[in-house]
Amino acid sequence: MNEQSDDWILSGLRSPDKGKRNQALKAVYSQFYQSMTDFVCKNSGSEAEAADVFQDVIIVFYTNAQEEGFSLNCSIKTYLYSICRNLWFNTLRRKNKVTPTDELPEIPEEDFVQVLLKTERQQLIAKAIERMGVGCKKILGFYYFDRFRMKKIAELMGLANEQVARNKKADCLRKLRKLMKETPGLEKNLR
Amino acid sequence: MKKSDSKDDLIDKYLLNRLSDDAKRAFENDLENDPQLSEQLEEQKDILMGVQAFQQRQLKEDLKAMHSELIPSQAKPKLRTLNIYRLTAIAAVFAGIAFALGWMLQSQSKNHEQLFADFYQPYQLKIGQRGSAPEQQTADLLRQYSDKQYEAALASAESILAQEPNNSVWLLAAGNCLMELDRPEEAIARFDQIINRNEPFYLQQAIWYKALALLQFGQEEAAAAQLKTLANNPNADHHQEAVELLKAIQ
Repeated sequence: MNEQSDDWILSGLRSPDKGKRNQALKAVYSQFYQSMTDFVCKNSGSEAEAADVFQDVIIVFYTNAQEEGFSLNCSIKTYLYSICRNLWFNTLRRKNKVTPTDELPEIPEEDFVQVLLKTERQQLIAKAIERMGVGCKKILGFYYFDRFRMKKIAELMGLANEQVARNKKADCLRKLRKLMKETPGLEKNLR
Repeated sequence: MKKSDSKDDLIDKYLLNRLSDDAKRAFENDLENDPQLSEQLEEQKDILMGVQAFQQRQLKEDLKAMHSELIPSQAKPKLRTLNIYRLTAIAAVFAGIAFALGWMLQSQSKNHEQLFADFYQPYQLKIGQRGSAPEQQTADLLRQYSDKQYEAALASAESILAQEPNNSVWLLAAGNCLMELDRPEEAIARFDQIINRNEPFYLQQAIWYKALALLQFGQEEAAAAQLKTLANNPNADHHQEAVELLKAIQ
């Protein structure tokens, strides 16, 4: 795969075209895999751990890239490296391994790490979503994860217009709340 | 649209940072004075995070599949070169040891073949599985496939795929024919077409057969990476077989 520019990658990751997003993800994977995993391996990580962390790095980058007003003030490589350092040192701390003090992250951890959502409640909601139909999974994913506007969602899902998409999303949210009510651990304080 | 829906929309816009500065200030002012709104905001935040968690899980699976697609192809030649150097050096000094190594490599490859033979069952094409292709063509394919005439079945599948390139059933059929014809590399490309589209109904089937094709091709690490996605999901198709095959590989 040819090396792609940062602009090409970023606009691919934010494209509503799934093919382009996939190409951009592949470009990130092949262009930055070696340097990120080298860093983890040089800091007491195995190859498997390095690959796992690198995938989490991409997930954080992808999620952040969808945010309204997201922009990079450094290269993608530097940005990924910051996330990688944060995630990996956090993992080492959890394993009670000492991290080199000169390598301690300069960027507040929560800025990056909070998007890797691991709390029990969110995972339970994710499980409830698993039980939903394909259409609801799609529309909620397009809206809350890919951050597409309703007009774009209507186009992507072949719905008549923006209002139909909005109604569908509202309907899916109602279904999700119902599923959440039936899920042990999630049933309290729901509308 | 119900009143509660427009409230959801407003909360969503706030969470997704889509309100103007004035609207945001007004919303935050309401939040301070309305504990119910504050609760609703928390609930909506949980939903947003839950959807993200669900999507991130899916993305992780895609990235694992991407890993086996992109990384072994770069890493493999390095390993092969190293083995050749190592074998040559040993052969120069101890021809007998080289012979023994050759025998070990051969028996290892028999192992992959044996595992593949133990676990591989062709995908079951059912009579009702058809798309918009002419009925005669699909009938031919179903007959050839069930009669194990895989050359002919592959030709039929290819001709149907020319009309319906994204039909996952025909892609699975073509991939299986290619595996039967001992062309695993081409089979992997067929299964990737389904995996890359994240086709919900056939994704797990495609992952299972891709893993087997990788095993047939001798790439057991890449096969194991695919199998893990099925082994980690107790509800997945082929879950139990994936657990057993993974154990056998490891």
